[in-house]
Amino acid sequence: MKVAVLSGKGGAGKTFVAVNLAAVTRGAAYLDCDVEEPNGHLFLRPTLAGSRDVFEVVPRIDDDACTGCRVCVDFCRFNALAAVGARVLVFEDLCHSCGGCHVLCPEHAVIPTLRRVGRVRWGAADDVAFASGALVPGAMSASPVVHAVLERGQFADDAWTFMDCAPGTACTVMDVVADADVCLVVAEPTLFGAHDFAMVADLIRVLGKPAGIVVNKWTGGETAVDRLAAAHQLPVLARIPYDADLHRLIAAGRVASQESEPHRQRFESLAAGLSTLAAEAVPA
Amino acid sequence: MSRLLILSGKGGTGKTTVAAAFVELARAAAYADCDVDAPNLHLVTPTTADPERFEYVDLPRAWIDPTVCVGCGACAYECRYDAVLHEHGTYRIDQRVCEGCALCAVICPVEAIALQPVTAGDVIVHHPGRRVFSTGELRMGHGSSGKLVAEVKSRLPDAAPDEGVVVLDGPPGIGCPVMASLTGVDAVLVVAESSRSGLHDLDRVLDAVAGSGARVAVAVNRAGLDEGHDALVQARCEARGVPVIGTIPGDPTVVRVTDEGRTLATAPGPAADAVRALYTATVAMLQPRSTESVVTPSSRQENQP
Repeated sequence: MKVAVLSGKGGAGKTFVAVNLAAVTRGAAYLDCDVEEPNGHLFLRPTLAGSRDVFEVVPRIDDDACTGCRVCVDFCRFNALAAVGARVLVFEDLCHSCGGCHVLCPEHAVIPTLRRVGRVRWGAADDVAFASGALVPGAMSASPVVHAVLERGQFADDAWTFMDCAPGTACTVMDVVADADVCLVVAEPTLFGAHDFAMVADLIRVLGKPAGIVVNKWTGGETAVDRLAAAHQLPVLARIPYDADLHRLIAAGRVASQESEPHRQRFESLAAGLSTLAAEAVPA
Repeated sequence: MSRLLILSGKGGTGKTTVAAAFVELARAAAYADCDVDAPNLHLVTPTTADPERFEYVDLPRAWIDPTVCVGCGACAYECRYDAVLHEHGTYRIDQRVCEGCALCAVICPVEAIALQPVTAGDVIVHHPGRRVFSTGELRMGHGSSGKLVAEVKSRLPDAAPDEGVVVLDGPPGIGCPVMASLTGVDAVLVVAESSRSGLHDLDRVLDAVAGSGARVAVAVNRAGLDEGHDALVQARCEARGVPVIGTIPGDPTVVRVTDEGRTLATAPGPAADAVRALYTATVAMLQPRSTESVVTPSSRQENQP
């Protein structure tokens, strides 16, 4: 069972929830799909078993073979190729790695070359299987790194896999949600948190995935997030009260469910809620 | 006129809280929300009821005409994005995955593939008083937020140099939208969080802005949450030659004031006091000076275990 843990707003507590769920679930896996700012390893402190670089393919022009015919330049929709006299220049930052220039060049003068865009690492933290991707700062597309993490995180169907997403609703988040069986949205009951939760609720509706809500940093009462969840017919599976001691634990990079019995029980009960949600969602 | 970009690396460290207070304190004639994935600045800054809206049209995406397609599969074979789906013997394009390179349309032997325009987002421009507030919303599942950020910024006026600070609220992360936000800014204020995650992400965002040519300074938010990390953030900034020009303590007033749709500019409490002091320090940083602060690239590109 794959669970995408997401939030519209950053800092709502995705990593906190995903890490703790993985820690209380026997034989679980944790995948850090927030490749721009991966933080799961800071809590789980895994022992790494391996890693590899993630590359994109960009063109290099063989100037000896190039006749300056401009087929590639005229084809490229991303303006990543420019003709200067009889030479073709490559602007790697604009390239989307579609490979069209390589396929179309009549002289075979476009040589695919690798550009490093990130790294995927994997291992285990106690009995939690772990994989994490890290984008090279400033690299243009996070997608190849996210896909490398998802490929690394294919486990048996009965294993619970918690996929920690990037904030927002952009395409890399959609890719993770598309791979998930169930979504868990972590929402902060603030003005910003409710606004961004509404965006995520729309995304879940469009993709048609079963989903539950965790209200994090809850300060009591029925919140704007509860009202939006009810309007979208999404169940609130847990409310985690705002607690300065808990926030100190998180700031220090500790896994709260391993430090205190009440936190462990809270996440066990959330995991049970997810189980029920997933069981109801699976078609008979 | 100076363009100030507020970044954070990690989400939820307080970018928008700081940016909104600065908009009010600077009486900024122009400001923008570059976090087009989850824009929030409009919730706490002046807007107008009838803003201008411009559709952001991305590269056209491929579409296979099923009445023309002969099912040869050439498009699926060459597509690097795996955007061509083969279901029940027919081919169709997943436009969510398609990046619009048009290779399939060029190689299709029967010209069955057309390119259809897509609207990937909206640019919304408010004119409260004589000010300009440009913001954007990426439509769900689109990936070209960097280009939308550039569109949002393009709607800001090219005002005269003496018109004060233009405040840009940035996106989280270190990827394409951040790089698009960075173009043409004079200074970057990184709002860091005093935590293990905050320190890690601060390092990565400083790597991303190194080489941009902008002046860079750091403000530490939620200071005092973990004293060990207060010291670590300070030490890391010192090692990288980036000045820490403000420290904002954790303060429950922040959420209360923000939830009322207000900024910290005139609010009571220690966090609001610290944000006002941070604004003064930021204005001082924006003054021309002889010695520029240059971010030292990290010795480690990615400090994972």
